[in-house]
Amino acid sequence: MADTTAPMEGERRVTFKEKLAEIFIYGKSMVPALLVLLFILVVLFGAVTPYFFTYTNFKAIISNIPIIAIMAVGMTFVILVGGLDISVGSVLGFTAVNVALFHHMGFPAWSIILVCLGIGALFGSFNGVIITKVGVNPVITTLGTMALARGMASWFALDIESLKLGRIFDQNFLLIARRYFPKEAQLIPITFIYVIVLYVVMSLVLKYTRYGRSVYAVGSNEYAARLAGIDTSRIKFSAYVMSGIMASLAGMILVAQLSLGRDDAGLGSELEVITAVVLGGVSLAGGKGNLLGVIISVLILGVIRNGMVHLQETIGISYYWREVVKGAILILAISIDAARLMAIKKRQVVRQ
Amino acid sequence: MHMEFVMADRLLEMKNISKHFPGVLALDEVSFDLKAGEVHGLLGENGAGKSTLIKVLAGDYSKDKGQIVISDEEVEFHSPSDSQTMGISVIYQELNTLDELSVAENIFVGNLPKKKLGTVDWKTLNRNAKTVLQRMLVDINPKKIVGDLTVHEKQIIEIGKAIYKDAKILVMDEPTAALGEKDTVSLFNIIRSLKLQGVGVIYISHRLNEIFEITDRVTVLRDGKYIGTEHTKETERERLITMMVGRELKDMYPKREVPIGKSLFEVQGLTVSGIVEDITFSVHEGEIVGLFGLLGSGRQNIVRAIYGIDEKESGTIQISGKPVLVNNPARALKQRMGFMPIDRKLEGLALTLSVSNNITMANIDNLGDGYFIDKKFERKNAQKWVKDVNIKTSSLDAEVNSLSGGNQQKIVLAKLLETGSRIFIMNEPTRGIDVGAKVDIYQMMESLCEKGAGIIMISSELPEMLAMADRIIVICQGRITGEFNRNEATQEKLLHAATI
Amino acid sequence: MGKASEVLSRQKGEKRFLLSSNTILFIFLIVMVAAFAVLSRDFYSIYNITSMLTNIAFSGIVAGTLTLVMIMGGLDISIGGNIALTSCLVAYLYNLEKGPHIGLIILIALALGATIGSFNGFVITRLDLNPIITTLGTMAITRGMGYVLTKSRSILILENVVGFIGRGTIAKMPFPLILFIVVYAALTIVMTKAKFGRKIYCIGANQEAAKLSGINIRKVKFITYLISGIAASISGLILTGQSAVGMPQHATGSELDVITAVLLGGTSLAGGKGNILGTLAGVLILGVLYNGFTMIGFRYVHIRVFQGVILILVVSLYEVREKRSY
Repeated sequence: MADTTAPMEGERRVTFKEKLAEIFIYGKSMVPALLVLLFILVVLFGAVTPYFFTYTNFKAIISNIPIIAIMAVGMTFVILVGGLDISVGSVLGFTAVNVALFHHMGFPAWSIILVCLGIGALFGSFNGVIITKVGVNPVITTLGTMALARGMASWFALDIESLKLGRIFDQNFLLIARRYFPKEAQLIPITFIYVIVLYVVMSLVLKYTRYGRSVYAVGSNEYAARLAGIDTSRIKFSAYVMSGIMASLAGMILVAQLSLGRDDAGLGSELEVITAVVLGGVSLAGGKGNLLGVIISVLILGVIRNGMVHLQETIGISYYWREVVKGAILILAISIDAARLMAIKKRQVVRQ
Repeated sequence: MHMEFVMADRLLEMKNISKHFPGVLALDEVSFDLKAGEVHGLLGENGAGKSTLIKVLAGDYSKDKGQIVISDEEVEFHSPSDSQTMGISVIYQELNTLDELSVAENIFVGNLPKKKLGTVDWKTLNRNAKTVLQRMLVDINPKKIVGDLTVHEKQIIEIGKAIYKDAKILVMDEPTAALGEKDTVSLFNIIRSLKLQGVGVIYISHRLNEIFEITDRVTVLRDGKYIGTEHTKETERERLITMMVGRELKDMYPKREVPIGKSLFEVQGLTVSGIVEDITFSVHEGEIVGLFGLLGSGRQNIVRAIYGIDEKESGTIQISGKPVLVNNPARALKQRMGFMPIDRKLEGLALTLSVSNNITMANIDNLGDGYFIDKKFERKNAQKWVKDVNIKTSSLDAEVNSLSGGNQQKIVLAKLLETGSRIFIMNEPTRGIDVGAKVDIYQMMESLCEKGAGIIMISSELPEMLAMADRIIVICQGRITGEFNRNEATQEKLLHAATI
Repeated sequence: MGKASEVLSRQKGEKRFLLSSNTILFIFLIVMVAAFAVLSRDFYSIYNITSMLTNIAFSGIVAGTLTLVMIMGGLDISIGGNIALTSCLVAYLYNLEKGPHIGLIILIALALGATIGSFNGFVITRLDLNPIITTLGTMAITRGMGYVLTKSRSILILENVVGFIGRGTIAKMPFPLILFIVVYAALTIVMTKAKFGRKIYCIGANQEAAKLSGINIRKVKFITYLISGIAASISGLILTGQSAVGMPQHATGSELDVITAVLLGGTSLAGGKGNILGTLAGVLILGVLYNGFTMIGFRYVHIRVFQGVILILVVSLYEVREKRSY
């Protein structure tokens, strides 16, 4: 008797491994894979504790992600042009300290915002100049800037500590991060809106402006882009400036959220930002990826962070595993990126 | 009548162009001119100076002496964009496409049409792209991602870029290298339609068939010198070959009578799925077997699979009758096989290391007992090869970077000799080197054969192939399509087998 | 181009000398030492020299092995995390009731370094990943495990053997310094005379050519990262002994120091160029510089700023010099 459950000749049962590879590696966009991942995580954490699904928890998740989300936008531009910026966390910290400093000196909120954006632009420009004009490797450059900014943050913070001036009291300033919509029900934090608007605007820029298309062109094939008349140095430079400004923006929002400006703000955040961007499908090789994948993976990382807190409360897994998980996800993300690149290379193997 | 008038316009004149690089004079007072609506072929062997001349025209290199005149105006180029502004577009063999972007974006890169608000007008972009493509009588979806296209389609995109930029002078460098017959016909049709529009085309190739099919005139370069210009309809093959090679074939190629011994190397059923299929051939002691084919035929894939650099689905290798496993270069070297890569700078040499370090690179484990290198022994060996292979260098410690192309190639050869190789895979052994060094390499190849070595030689130079190989195997679209003995092989037979 | 390089000598005006990079560095070192001796009374004290040399030994050992990694064309940012985790593990194990013998603990520490190095090596060679980001991830993982192990607290370890590694002396020389000298002697021999060292240079200079020449790229890279991992745990033992504490915050920012020292010593990021002597000079210069600055009165935060500036300055200068020589 024929075995009706066996695959017929010419068919093959698709194995789980192959299905996985199909979604994560061979798909054109990472978005479906990320959505699957997000879904799985939500289900997993929900199984650990029903508290996961409450609205309060949801608010907790989304109020923690703006910082990473904002920096991820800048990092996306940088990685799209084929570079890297590991100084973002330190620029954030330096900005935070300056907010406190200027606040103490009595500057009004709007001027603090302007000055801090200027700081971000300054660091970004510095990175940009060293990388594009002098030609130093981006990682080493931003490694140096990272130390520079963090050192300056600690240095400036010395004054603050001695005068105990970390706290911010200016309501106008605090409100940039503390408003909720609608006012009474306190449903959606304003930072959520910032992130949505930023991502929508930047996505439009990347897709619909010449500048955005040039960013992709430079990342895809810098030589060809230059031949076509695109000022590749300028494009790369602008990406680093963007990254710097996003970092300082994130710094301001962080201070407003905590009402505290400390020199260790953003310590280690560059790791999360890079993870979010690479996991989101922006290839380290440059020229590929978009912000949709990035925002989803920022959400994934936020869910994981939140979930681990719950894990500690219920199962007792130490919260300190968070750093380990962060590093592991980064390596996982770049492995997926490498596998995707390899799959494309294999497809393009030509007879020579 | 209209044709005559259009062709009379002189688009370009390059007068007495000279260009030198450390150690070599690449161009020696070369002249070249191009008329509107003309297809002007540029012929010459590897190292003749064709690429250099084009790079000077494209603004990639600066000339040392001479003038460039465009439409009766003398110009100076300081960068590729200068040359582009003057209406010159170059399509290189290695296409410069932006693979992650769409067809339309590639054609208009840097010049995307804007809407009133300043955002990219995708509708107009795609529409304009379709128009450009139609001008070339092609139908490709402008929204397709370029990475997914075939080589010929990518080529069309590059031509489209040039058309959009209103190029008056289009340079095509070996455009049919990777094309099959159908695509070549399509390309020639595009070129003919460009001619009618008054565009001047500089067509670089060493496929004589094509020169005779598509060009109006042809200029020959040799060793960086201008040899002559002929009207295609009034000249013939022999004349062009003589101009290209310059000397009696027998002087140029020191072929000796070497007794062919027993089978040294055999490969059977080599298959890399989708690329090459069922490759079977053998090499005997003292024999030079040539692998001929157009670019894109799969010869590279074959030798790389043989040497264990790339993976293969099936195929066995026997050395002196014994089956061996060669799945990586280290194993191949152990079997005394040596590989001379097609690009010595990329794969053959460590440019920042010294001459002696490079020569011994493949034999480090044998430079001394135990964990350490016997420096004296190393230098002795290196010195021996420098002498034997006639490498001109100021010292054993000189950086390989500072040597000429010919000497660099000799170092690669010395590296293989140091490992005691008996079976050599030489991939375009005389590419980009001067005639003197070429002859040296040919001499060495013959000496090796006299000592019983076997050589697999890949060459796109028909004269070289016909002169040096004892047997020629022709590859076309990944399969062996012909095998010819030395005395029965002719250019026509080879080209015919290579283009089935 | 060739062996020697032309360099503008800073102290002697605008004249050009045909001096090797290393000579310039050592001259600069001597000048600096002299300057600091003049500027600060305490600089020349036995206590300061000893502590300075111990610090130099601590970061110098990993700098030496990092030189191998960088000449090969890679990078290892995880050394800081490795050092921290080593110190945490050692302190943790020591404080366990019925914990293992101290000798065993030291062996476990070295094994830990080897494991981390192997992980780096495996992931980078097998999965063909970018070394920079991979070791960034490993850094997070190792330091994170340090936090998990110690629950973010410092663990005291008052012990003889480990203490000796960090603070002991043999014939008046600090033990770390002796380790340092031994390691550098070994590394110099490896890089100048050993087959393994030559292979590292070849891979760094042109990986494809090295592959075609039959060099086992995977094996060499793996071993190099392994060595780097072990060196980091040795440094971790030194630091634990010195500070008598195991804590996950140890060696934060040390990767910057070490990379700067290696780059200062003339090793090129692109690979294929560099030598141990240069790194020695770099390590000494930075060590003296930071110590001297501290003696003059700069605080830790200022020095952190200098670290960043010096790194960028050093690479920029080398980059400009490369461009000029073409």
